[in-house]
Amino acid sequence: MSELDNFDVVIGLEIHAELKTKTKVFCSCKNEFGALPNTNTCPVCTGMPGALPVLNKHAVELAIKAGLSFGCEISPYSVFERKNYFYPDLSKAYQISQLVYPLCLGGVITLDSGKKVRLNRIHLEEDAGKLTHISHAGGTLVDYNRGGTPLIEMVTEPDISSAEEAVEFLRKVREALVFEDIANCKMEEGGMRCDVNLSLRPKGTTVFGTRTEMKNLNSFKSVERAINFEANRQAEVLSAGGVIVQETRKWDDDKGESFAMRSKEQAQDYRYFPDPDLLPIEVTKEDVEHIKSEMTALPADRRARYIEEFGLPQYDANILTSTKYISDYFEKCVEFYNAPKKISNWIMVDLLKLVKEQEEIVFPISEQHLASIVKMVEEKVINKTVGLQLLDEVIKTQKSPEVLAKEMNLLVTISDEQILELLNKLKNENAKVAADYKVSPDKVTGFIMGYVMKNTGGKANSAKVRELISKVF
Amino acid sequence: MDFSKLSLIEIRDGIASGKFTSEEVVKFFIAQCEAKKSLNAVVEIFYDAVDKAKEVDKKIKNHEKVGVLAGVPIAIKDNILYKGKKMGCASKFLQNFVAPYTSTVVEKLLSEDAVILGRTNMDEFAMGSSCENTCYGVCHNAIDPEYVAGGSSGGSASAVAAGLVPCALGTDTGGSIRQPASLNGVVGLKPTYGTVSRYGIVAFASSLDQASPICKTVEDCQLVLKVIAGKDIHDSTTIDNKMTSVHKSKYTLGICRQVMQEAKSTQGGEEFYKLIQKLGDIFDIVQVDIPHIQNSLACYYIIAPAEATSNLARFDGVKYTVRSEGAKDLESVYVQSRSEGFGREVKRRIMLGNYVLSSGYFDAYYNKAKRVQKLIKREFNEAFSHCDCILMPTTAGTTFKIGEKLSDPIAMYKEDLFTVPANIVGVPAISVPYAKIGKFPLGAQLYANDLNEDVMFEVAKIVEKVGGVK
Amino acid sequence: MDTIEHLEYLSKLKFSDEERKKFEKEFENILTFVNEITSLEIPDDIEKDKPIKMTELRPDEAQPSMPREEVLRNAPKQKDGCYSTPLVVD
Repeated sequence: MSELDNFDVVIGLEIHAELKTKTKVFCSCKNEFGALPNTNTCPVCTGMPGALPVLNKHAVELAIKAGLSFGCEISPYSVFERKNYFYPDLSKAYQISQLVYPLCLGGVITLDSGKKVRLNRIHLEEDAGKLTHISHAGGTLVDYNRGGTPLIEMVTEPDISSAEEAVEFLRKVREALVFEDIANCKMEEGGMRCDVNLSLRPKGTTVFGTRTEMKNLNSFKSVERAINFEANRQAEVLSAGGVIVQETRKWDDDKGESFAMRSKEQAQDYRYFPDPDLLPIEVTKEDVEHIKSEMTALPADRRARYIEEFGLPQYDANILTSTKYISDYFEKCVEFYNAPKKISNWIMVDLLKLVKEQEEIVFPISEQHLASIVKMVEEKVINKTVGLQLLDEVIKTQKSPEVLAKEMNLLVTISDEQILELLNKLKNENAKVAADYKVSPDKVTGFIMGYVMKNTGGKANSAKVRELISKVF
Repeated sequence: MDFSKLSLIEIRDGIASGKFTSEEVVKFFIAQCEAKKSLNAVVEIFYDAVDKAKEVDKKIKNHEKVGVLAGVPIAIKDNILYKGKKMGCASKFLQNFVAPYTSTVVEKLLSEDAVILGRTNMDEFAMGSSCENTCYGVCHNAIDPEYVAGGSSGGSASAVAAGLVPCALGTDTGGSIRQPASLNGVVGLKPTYGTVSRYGIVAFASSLDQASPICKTVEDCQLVLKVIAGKDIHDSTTIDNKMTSVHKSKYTLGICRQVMQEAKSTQGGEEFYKLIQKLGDIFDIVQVDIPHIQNSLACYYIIAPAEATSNLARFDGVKYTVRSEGAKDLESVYVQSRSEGFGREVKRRIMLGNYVLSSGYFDAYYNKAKRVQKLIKREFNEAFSHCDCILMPTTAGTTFKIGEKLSDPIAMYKEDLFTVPANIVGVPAISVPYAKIGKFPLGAQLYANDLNEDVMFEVAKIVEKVGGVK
Repeated sequence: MDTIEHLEYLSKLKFSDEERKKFEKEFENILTFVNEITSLEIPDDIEKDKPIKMTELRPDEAQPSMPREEVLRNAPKQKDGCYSTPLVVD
């Protein structure tokens, strides 16, 4: 029994996700990961004197999409404010963010258990630059390529009560953002970041305890570990009669523990005020409707449909809705050839293994071509082995499966007459077979079949041959 | 030929008609700047202006199409960026700064074939009303060097008045164009907020700043404004100000009761009464009320420092300002560089701005000021429903001696009493010289409603004529 | 006055004792002067700032960035294509 058993854990998350725009949020520099330092920069994102921010429309659209994905209310009037503090990664010494009037308000995400985690808000803001610390040279290098790229910040209510719930929540957020092409959410590149606010309260009570904030959580695993560490740490302090200090703690993934950041960091007064360089944004009902019309059904909705309408197992439905691309691909294939489970098998078994090394999945064959191959196999025009052979060729040549099958002479082109002729020939030449067939057809069918296949190069349709055998003999 | 006696339009027409060349004009003004260097009005002459002038002359000679400012030299305030040229905001903090890009206003001037002659002195980061807070040394009044040029665009006003250039751009946040124009006897304009792009102009108070010309005549200001105005993709706060207005045979001038109460006891009060009387024959004159106009100055000294403190935070010794020699760690790069780099007045306003923004005071000061600002705007709208323009003094009196108000910030701040309301409510205003007390000129202002610049220019041309100082 | 020191901290400025004394006096005068608005009564129906429509926002199309030499041209110190500061410890 640990100290923690006497307490309820109260967790709120702040999640940052980088939006998938072509350009930065307030200037026309490329929003791109991995370029040479300071090559995607301009007067605006390096905060030069006289430079002014100009808001990227698509960033606003994506933030609204995120809001719509989680059932937020979209504010008809929202305001950018300046968050003022000095740090070298912040070129203007203020971050343009939103405080009093965020773009999206409220919202909810339902966990598998049915528990609802409420969102407080989603707002749009700019990212900071990147610092590289070179200890031996005693210097820090500042690269503003990432400075000014668009971020959404999602803030939850303190509705989460365990590390498992937190991770499930994060997965759901990531799934939705990736699915709608709002964000890449690559945690290892900093494309999705998470801060955890955590406090404890004695079981059965309702008053919140003092909370701490944990930063620098770079993976789902570290979120989980950091939460467990912090919950236990607080439980020990409280059980020993101590008090929790409201502080910011930094998680050290190698050591598996968090430590308090310098107290100076905590006395921040950001002096927010509306940015006079930017006007408030008006989002009309029509704007929202338009953005909504560009959105497809959410993964959860699609999954339900795949199971109910297509009769797919849960496992298939999960994999097929893991990204919007795969899900769209699958649905389009089904439009070409309505055999959802067969298509699903091909995608899950044969296509996904081809692209497992790819960072961003793109299947090397069009939906129409894949559907054609599946159809040929299902209609027994070719067998599965030939089908796989054909798949390889289509990928190699990008020709249509029908054309290739003909060119490669893969098709079953033996006519009924040819089969009949062969069978009659056999009957005439080999009276014993005919006689044996009359006594025990099962025993010799195999032999006859073998004979036909041998003489047709294996291209005869076996079902057809079987049928004709019973006729002739 | 003495080009210093000509207006910008006269010079422009002379060049266009081949009476004289841009090269002659530009060389003349360069010589003027050199001869009157002690004024400290022009802090750097761009000698390549002569090459630009030659290019324009060539175009004219070849009958190529040229812009409406072809060959005319114009100076720019030291807070306006022109790629490859130094720009310092009169601050030693920016003493090595070379503009890496060009401001929209300069682009627009260049696209009409104007020739940029040099940069003019100012109060550091445009904070001040005397042009004494400057790393280049005090700028002197064009009429008497013992006296201040006013500020913050003191260099621009003094340069035009002294005949160093026919036009200079300034910036006006609370009167920084109109007050020095008044003290030097030239015309200074501030357009409707958003008319002129702020891109490439170092921000003081973003919601109040407007760049605009100082010239010898109203007509010159009108022409230059039309060139530099326009919606700019680089500045979200710009508007498409077409400045169209209905011409009337008789305009109505408003006199604000609350302003008159303040003005009557000032040095210029008597002259101002005389002006109203003279104008009574030409205009319908009505009294208007703007009950909270006197609170504009308090709003200004909350809103402007708040924005400035944030705008000036980027000057930190990391990216483009001088870094303190002694700075060994990040904190000292910030603190030492800024403490050594900024002058007193700038520091005062940064501190004040942080005070009104800091937690616990934000609502009482900043939010309150923003609300009072809207209230005053409403009162102005009401006033403009009774008149075309509102007439008021530009300054309480004529120029003052160098050093006289330096130790009394409040007295200095009150220099902006009559100019600040135009920035607080965003409306256009123009200062026109109309009288002299002794040898020193005095300006009167016309305020018009948003986008009504053309009405204002029409009325201002009449005031200019009646005043007869031109 | 604690306030002045706190403001120095927020402003990243440091005053000498003498400067601070002088500043304190001036600051009080300025505050007395701006305090006049704190007691004003404002009508409830004061309008919000006029917003920009979504259709007027900037399209998401990339423009060439500034050459790096230009970006760094005014940097007091630079290294490996970056602005350089003394080592930051957090």
